[in-house]
Amino acid sequence: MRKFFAYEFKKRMWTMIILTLICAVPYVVTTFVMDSTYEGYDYRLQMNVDHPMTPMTWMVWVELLIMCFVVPVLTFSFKMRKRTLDCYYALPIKKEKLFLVKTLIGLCTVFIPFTAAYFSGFFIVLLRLDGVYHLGWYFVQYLGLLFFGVCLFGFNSFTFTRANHPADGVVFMLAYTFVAFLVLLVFEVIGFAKWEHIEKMLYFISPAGNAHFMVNTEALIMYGAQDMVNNPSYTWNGWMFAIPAVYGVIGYTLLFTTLRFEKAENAEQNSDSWFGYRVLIPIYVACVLAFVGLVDSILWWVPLYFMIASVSVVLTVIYRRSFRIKGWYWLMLGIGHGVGMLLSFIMHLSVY
Amino acid sequence: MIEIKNLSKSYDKKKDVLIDLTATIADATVFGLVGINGAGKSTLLRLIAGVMRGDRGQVCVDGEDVYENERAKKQIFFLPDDPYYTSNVTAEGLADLYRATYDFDNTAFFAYLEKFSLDSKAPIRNFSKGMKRQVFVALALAVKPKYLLLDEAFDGLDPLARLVLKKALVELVESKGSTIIISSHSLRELEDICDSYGILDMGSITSSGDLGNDLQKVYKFQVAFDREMTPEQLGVEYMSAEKTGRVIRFIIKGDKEEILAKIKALNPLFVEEIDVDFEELFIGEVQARGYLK
Repeated sequence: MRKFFAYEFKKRMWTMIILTLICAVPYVVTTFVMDSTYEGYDYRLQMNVDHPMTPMTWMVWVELLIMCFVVPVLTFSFKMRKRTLDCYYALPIKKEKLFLVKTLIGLCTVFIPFTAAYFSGFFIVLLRLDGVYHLGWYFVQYLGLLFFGVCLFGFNSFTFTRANHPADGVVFMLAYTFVAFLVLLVFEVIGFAKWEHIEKMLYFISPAGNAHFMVNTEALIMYGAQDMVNNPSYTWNGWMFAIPAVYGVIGYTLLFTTLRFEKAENAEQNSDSWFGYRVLIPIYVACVLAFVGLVDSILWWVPLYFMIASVSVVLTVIYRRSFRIKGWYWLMLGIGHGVGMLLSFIMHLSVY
Repeated sequence: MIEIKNLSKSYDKKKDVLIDLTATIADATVFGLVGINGAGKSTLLRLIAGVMRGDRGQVCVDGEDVYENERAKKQIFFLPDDPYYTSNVTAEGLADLYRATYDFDNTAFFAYLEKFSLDSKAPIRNFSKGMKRQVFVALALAVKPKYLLLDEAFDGLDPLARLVLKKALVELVESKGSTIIISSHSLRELEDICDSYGILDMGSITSSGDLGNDLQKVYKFQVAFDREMTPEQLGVEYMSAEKTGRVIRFIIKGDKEEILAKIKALNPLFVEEIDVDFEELFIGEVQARGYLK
């Protein structure tokens, strides 16, 4: 397996170099030219003071997020093409080992460019702006982003590999990024958000929902820990780490445990997984329909229901690549519409 | 030895590709796997290679189930009809994958590349279809597997490359006792090297055996009459027949003397026996099963 890992790593080397350059150059150039401080009004001191500029680490965070969506596509598309599948599945390597190597290579492809970019910017800051920032927090932020990245990559790898075609896999990753947020938002609007945990979870419920950590640690780099103690706008809570960890554990566990059910012959076929369109379309339909309840005039509901129903059927036709939709899909769409209509009534009653 | 036991496979619930297929392929033989398009040859090779798992039944190599079995798969090399390579890869780069996963013979690999006059450092994407095939053939031969599965083995190869491949395969069988399964539509090429064969049709192997023996059990006659005759009027159960003017050529199995006696009783102008090749045997078999009529 070590030899195979070395082969895959060597094969991926150029991709890593290019991604490192793409990630590092804009961040390094920015840290190289940016001003260290700007003058602004401080409401607590009630006077103009020199504020440190943002350390711009959000740039590497955005790059990390993008890589956590792009690299699973590069890494796991092989299982969606018959040619690559014939090559890899015929090798004397068990599927578990093959996917383990691929996963490790994917993680290297994300974190080597990320680490190189992050610390090249850090060293520029160290050389140019020493004394402006609280540098120790860079390491906390780096480790936190590493944690979020590992979890997001694992979850995205799982959702992507549910597809039998790379384009469907990308749709699955994006759909899963927002689906839990959308469901929770429906509950919040209906009024369940009175349970305070739901409201807190809403900010972190997406597998990619780590913006708060990013913003908080950037502020810590700028102002230090003392500011966090005095400033109530910091929103640390357990959900911030627990939810990504759950996503990560689910992602990696299902990625490997479902391998025994994988069928090589499904490559390039319709993406019919129960983790895919079959369930995602009805959930999205139910959530979008629920928001129809916000329209005060019930007269508008019928055309809106009709429009959403048409869109859901069109989407099903597109993913099935056929106008012949089997009974199962009608049933799933029907459940989605039924639940959505029910939620729209509840939402209407709770809002008006 | 490869044992295929009651193997069934379907791609969707409507179409069975292989149905309860049972076969044994002996060690140190060259087995020709033939069948019409869509008969399931590539599917069977993928199942033997462990790429896919059968819905029912199993494929065993030296007594071990192949699927997800590293030890068994280490002895198998599968060369599909459309093998995968990345856009910038060279022949040398492609070999890295097999160096990492098999006991790879570098010397043999470069020797075959030289035999085929291929540049090991040139990107494969610039090669012709036949040259790409030659690279993969060189890889397969350099792995020196105990079981070599070749799908559409001669596809795209020029006559010289075919000759090199056939010689190399025979060498592999003789030197290492390898077993080779070749699926191909070039039946004349298969006839040169195959010891045994199997015709795949309707999801199972409908006809199989020792190629040399079976060819001796099949006869081809050419008969001319002084009157119009149809093949049906010959009164024999032929496998396939064709009529040109008053001449009828037909392929038949059975007792040669008995067949000749029946034909001679019809007072032909002449009757002569012609050699049967594998292609004619195959066409005879598939026509007898109702195809090409």
